[in-house]
Amino acid sequence: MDELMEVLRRALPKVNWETDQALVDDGIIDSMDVVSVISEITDEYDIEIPSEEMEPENFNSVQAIYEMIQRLTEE
Amino acid sequence: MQSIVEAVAAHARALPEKFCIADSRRELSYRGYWECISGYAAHLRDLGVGVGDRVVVRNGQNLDTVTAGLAIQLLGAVFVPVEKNAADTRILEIIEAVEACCYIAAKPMELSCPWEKLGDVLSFRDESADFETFPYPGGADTAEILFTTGTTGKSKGIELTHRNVVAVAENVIDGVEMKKDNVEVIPVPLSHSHGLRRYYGNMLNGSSVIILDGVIFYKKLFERMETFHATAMDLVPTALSALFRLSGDRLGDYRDQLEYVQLGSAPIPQQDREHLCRLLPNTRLYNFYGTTESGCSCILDFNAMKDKKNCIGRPTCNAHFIFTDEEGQKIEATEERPGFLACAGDMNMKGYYQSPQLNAETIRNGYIQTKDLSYMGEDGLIYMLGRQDDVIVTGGSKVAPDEIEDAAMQFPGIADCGCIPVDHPLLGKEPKLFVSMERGAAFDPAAIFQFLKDRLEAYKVPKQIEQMDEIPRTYNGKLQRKKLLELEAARAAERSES
Repeated sequence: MDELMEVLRRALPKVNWETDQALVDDGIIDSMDVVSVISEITDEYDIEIPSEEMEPENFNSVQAIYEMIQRLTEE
Repeated sequence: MQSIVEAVAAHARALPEKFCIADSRRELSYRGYWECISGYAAHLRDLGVGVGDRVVVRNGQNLDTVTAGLAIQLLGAVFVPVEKNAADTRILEIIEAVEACCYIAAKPMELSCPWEKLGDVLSFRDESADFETFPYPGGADTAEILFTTGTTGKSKGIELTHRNVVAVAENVIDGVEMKKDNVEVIPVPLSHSHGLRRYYGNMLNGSSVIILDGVIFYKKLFERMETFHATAMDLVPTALSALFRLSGDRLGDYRDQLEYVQLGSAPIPQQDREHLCRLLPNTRLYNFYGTTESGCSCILDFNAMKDKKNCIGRPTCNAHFIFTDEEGQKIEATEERPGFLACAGDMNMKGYYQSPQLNAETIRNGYIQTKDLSYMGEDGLIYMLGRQDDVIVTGGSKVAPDEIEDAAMQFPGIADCGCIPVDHPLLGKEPKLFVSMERGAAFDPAAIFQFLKDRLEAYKVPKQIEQMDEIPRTYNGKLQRKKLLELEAARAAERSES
């Protein structure tokens, strides 16, 4: 989780990743930000994020992103 | 109707329960929207915002943003939208340039003017709002200042009156033959003219819009389209490509529902255009020609006119075109002797904000002068060969780089491309093509050359083809040809030094 936090801070340094739990729903990050996040995590974890995972709830918090990565790396 | 906000008030009075606007989570009737606009206008008035004041709003791509925009205009103040991802330095520059009295955004910044939280906008809704509290702004008053993203040089503020804004909205309504019961999905930024003007068109018409933040959450997009039975859609080419990549052919499921799709802000790659025509065979597919300075002045339904090469369609209701020579004198332009397109009409901007010299260079006798080489065909439609600055003159022949790019995009494996002129010892200039390849596709310049040779006249085929990781484009997909030219110029300088 700490490693992911570093990756996300690198992608979007201004976001308060520790506390915000509704990043997409509250408009804290937008679609362009999500593209930046995807770009960082696909490079870092060598995974492809399939289109069916493109749901706001998968990007609402660090925990949600972490769980999505876990799911994809286990597959 | 003198302003968009006055039109919304009129619809709220006449059809209070009609669905007006939604975003990804919320929806409002015309009456509800009016209550939000009126309530927030009262709040801003209490903060001291008044006639002529400039208010900068950082786009949140949601109901709060558009509500704030119309509330500002209702007060007779000036709406200055900026893109959500703008760098802080750009925001500061704009706030200083317009001497803003207030900054509305999701998060605060260190500024000389007060900050208002964007997320609070709808909380000021006034359910007892009437239609007489605020006098409506006049047509000649400034409604908004739109700052260009500055693909070249410094960003410019484009000042538009309420009459300008209404005239552009009329052009949109006329161009797409918008029905009153239209429901349009707008997933493109509202901080720029393209998205903002489609929203204004629907508001003037008493129709409905769904504002969404891009297409990346495409399931949400399709869910909202189904919930509100969307009949129209507004996309930029990059969003269309992304939607195809993410959802495959799912857009085709809406072939009987979508009456039209508007595409704009940059040329659409030929393969996406053809794919869209296949998926939506009976849907009107529009490409507007226009600029922030003179909006939505020409319209083409490319699904109905597939064979019209270089055609940008017919002038819209408020647009009057002439063609000029280098000196700005009117000429009879033809295919062989194209002229510079100049456009007059109420949609023409009031001017560049506080830039009298630039205005004098751009606006002549009420016409906004472009560098777009064009002519009117015998069919009454306008044809454009490209920007003068872009057109490549090789051995005396004019080559539109877009034509080469369109042809190259059909080559299997090319993900993107851009064409520029480079020096040639005998021909003066010749076209050079930069390409980026799809992942896994091999770069084979000889095969690309042969492919283009089979499709284009010999003088148009680029002899120089170079691979790049990524072709430079603006956020909304506009090719940054200038960056390619700068790259070549830097290399030429290096060569001459060594």
